[in-house]
Amino acid sequence: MGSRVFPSKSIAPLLTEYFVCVKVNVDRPPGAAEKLFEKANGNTLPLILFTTPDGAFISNTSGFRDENTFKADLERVLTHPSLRLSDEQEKKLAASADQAEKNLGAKEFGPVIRAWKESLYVKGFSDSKWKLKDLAERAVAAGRELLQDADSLVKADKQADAVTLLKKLQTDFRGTELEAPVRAALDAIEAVKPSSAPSPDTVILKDGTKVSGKIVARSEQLIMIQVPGGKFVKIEKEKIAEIQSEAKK
Amino acid sequence: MVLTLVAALVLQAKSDAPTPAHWMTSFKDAQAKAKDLGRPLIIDGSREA
Repeated sequence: MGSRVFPSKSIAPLLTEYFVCVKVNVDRPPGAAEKLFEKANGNTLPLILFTTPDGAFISNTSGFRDENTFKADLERVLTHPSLRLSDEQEKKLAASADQAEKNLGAKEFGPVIRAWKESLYVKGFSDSKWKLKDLAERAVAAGRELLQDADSLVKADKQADAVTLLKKLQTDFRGTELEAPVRAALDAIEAVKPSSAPSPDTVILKDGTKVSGKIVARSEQLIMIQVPGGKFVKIEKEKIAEIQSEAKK
Repeated sequence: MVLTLVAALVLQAKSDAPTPAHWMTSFKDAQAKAKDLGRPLIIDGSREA
């Protein structure tokens, strides 16, 4: 389970956001854990135990659990009465979820992400907390589509528009899985501003095709050349007959 | 083969694996953290630890 189930897409975020995880040697459990293992049903490894935040035994699984089964196990634990929010907390979170839903409908993704992140600091679980998580996931999916729109703008030589869009994404999706690719995309566009006109390197392929621009990266198998307009062309080295560089002339 | 760097990053964003959970090895520290954060504790009992 450690190599396939725990790192999977549906399990890892649940473990990271909602649980505290610890591994113990079942043959030599630490004192406090030993009493918990005595309450477990089954003896097929791995034995996975769940406790309340105060350390009281909730339930356990015994033996291998596939991704879907283990996801259901985790979700069941999160409905345990000890983990329910107080009525007041739930009321606040429900209002926050309703507002986030309206924000999502209006394509205002930043407030959705912020509401979800704030909910992570609220101890306990509820339908509203799950709703905020779902809304945040839908916002991130929409953000991913916008990242593709930014790519289309770059292809259409509308770098300035792409940068505007990406900066908005950077603000709205800070702290999500989109943060790194958005930042990298901005860095990439910054590196190929029109003012940095390509110098005339020419790559001549074995089939006679010539590609002119500026060589910006080389690896063992590939070179990447930036052509006029800012686009990149990757060329496999084995297809190259000759590289002519003005700088060497 | 023309591929913009941004397109490559879009693909990367789609295929990114989720951040793996951090598995603590000190039971005492894990208990304290669970209480502090108000989160349930999950204890993986195996012979690998």
